[in-house]
Amino acid sequence: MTADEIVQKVNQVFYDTFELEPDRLTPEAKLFEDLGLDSLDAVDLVASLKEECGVDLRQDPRVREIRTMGDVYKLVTEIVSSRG
Amino acid sequence: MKIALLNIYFYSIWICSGLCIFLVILFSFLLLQPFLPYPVYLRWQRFLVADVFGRLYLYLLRPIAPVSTVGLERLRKNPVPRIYVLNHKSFSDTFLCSLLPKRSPVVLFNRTVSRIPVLGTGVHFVKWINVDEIPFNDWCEAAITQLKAGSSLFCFPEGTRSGKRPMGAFHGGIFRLAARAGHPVTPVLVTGNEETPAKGSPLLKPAHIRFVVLPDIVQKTGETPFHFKERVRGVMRDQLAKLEGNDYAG
Repeated sequence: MTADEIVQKVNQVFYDTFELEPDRLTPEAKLFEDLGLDSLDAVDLVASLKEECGVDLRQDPRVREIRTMGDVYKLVTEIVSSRG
Repeated sequence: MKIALLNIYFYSIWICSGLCIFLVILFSFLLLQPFLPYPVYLRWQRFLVADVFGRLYLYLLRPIAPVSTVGLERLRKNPVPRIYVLNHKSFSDTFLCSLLPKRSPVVLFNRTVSRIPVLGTGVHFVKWINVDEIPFNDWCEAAITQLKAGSSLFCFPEGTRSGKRPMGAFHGGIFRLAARAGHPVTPVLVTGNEETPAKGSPLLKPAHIRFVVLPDIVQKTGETPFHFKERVRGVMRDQLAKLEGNDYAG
């Protein structure tokens, strides 16, 4: 998967799970302050990313560092690349 | 000078009566709990906190900050258990809840409230729900049980006071609860009390507080809890902007 495909896939997950329009999903957008997600939504997000992108973030400590959409794209890209 | 005197009058009576009510709650816990059916005992305790203490706060506040209300008649005509969601500008919002029709009310609160002296202890006696100390599924089920037993739920989904800032982002727990219970939420707007008192200060500045109940909002079929939360927030934000812009039609 290319970086663009990952961004598209992650954006699709955000649209399907939270009905967030793609124009709000910029790399700078903060998940909590700008998009209105909370800790319960984060649990839904992790489940949806596993289902749609096959990335399991449940035990990944890097999840705690996520603040923005850019952080989500970066982490998913890192996990996908590490699988080769 | 007049403001200072009014504040002295307010706090001296309010603190003394608060301590008296706390003692009554404590004695009720020791003397009534063993003899009364638990729901009756709990209703009595909640009456003391929500009606007596809450109403007293508003009564004492009246010379400093009178309150005008819109939409309470509709609720009084149909007194069913409700899930009230309120915006949160000031400490006084909590006491304004006593204006709403309710029976054995349950407030969902966070760790900030449990740190307040006396009040933080009182909320445990009335079995209100600390959403920071209990896992979501547990507090959600406990709140739904209370709702089905006839209690109304009160929640400030911003989680913290916004003061003069715009309405903050909402936490979604109460909306997931409403969806799970198949129950509408009743949005309530409070404005004018940003500095009565301001965050970080006990001083009650003169104000005209407006308290507006909006129509109930139900989760649409197929709507995600996140979208439900955002839709309710959108309605509250827009109506609050109208209210504060003085073009509110009621």
